[in-house]
Amino acid sequence: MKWPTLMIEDRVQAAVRWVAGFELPEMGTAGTLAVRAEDAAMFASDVISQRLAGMALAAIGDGSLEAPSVVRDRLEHSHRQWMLQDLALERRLLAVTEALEEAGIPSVVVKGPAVAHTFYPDPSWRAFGDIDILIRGREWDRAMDLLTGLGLRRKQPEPRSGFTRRFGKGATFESDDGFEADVHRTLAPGAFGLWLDPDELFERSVWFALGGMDLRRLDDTGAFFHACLHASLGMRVPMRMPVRDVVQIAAEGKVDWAVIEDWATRWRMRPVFRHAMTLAASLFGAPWPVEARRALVGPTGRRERRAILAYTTDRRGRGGTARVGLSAITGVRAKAAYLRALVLPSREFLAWRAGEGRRTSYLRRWLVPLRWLVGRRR
Amino acid sequence: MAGTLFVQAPQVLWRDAGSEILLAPRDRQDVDVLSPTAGAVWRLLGQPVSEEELVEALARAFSVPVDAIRADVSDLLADLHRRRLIDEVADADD
Repeated sequence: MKWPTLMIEDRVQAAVRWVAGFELPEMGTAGTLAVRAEDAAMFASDVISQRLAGMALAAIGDGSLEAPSVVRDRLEHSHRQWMLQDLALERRLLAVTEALEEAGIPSVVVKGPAVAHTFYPDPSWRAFGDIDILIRGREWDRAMDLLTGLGLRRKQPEPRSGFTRRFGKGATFESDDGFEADVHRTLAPGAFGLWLDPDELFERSVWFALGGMDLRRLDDTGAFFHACLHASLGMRVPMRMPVRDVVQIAAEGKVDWAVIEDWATRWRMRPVFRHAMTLAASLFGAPWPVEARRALVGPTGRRERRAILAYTTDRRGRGGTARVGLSAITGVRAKAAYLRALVLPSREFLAWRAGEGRRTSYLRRWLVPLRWLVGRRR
Repeated sequence: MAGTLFVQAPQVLWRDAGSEILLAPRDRQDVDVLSPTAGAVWRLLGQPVSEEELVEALARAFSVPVDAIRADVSDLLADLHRRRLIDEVADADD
């Protein structure tokens, strides 16, 4: 495949997309690709920044991708660092899971290792930068104490005590040696995280083997759902890998499309599925099967439409997710508690938001939503 | 070691790092690095396999006589076993 008349940026973008779709079944990315010498530096940088070095090296290895040796050298160097990091993360995951199990706190591995070892032809194709585990809400406080006892510390303070257990997505823990673990109470921030039922996902979890240990992971349908959440709500402009996860899990897993349709309706997730699957189709040219497309059609309420826009448009930077989060909370007392935490957070939270060495004040915080409003009127 | 099969030890985490295989036993902090040739042996050890089967598979893959690699394969297996990276299992067919 060659793009002789395209500009360098367009050629590199197309080549990176080709790598991201490497060996996806029926995705129209068959054939070979040759990277030009003048594109080499940009291609290598983009592949590395998209965490696609493992896939690119596999494509070079089987002769599908031809690239100058300088590209291969850069990819190998970066890939080796990522793989060393992922092995270290998996060791820590096993230790943390074992400690939680011993304390009677079950956990489910989500994303990263669970997806890499279950759905990809080789886990080295799917690099990850941290570990993610799901904890049931009823075990949340005990899990927090246990992780702290293991020498991990919470990266960000809560707006107010108990906020995460009630309204939040989860907490990030870190250690002195750079290890990071995202501990989830639910799988998305804001409205979508409040609408879905994490206990139902937990109950459907299945086992996978890692390092001689059995760990829980989301079942294939839950993993597809989470991949859609991550691709739709994770970053405003998603990386290639989360979008590939959507297609990879659908292709390699046994996704129950009737359950997806049920969640689309019952958990108000239709815009999430629609956004992720449309994105995957536009990126990889994937025609979704009829059963999958059924989850995309059907009515979508005004609140869900507003919610997805709060994540995928510039409303995200203007408090959109916080506003739609409020709309997803039921009960006046709960709404009041949510608002109170955001308007009058703890001093510790204010100091963290302000940044080291900067003065903290409630007035500064209250000016933020005012700026959102002013910005919106412009 | 007639009637003995070798297989990757389940507690060893590992990754393909391009030209090398990285091995990280979960009860250690360090990482063992296998060269491309040793990496080819490691991949074959994903399923229980005898030393003789390994020698024959590698001789075919690299187009070399079996006698030229037999001693090297034997040494590598002994080293992997000493480092507890592979397990010995009895051959059910014997």
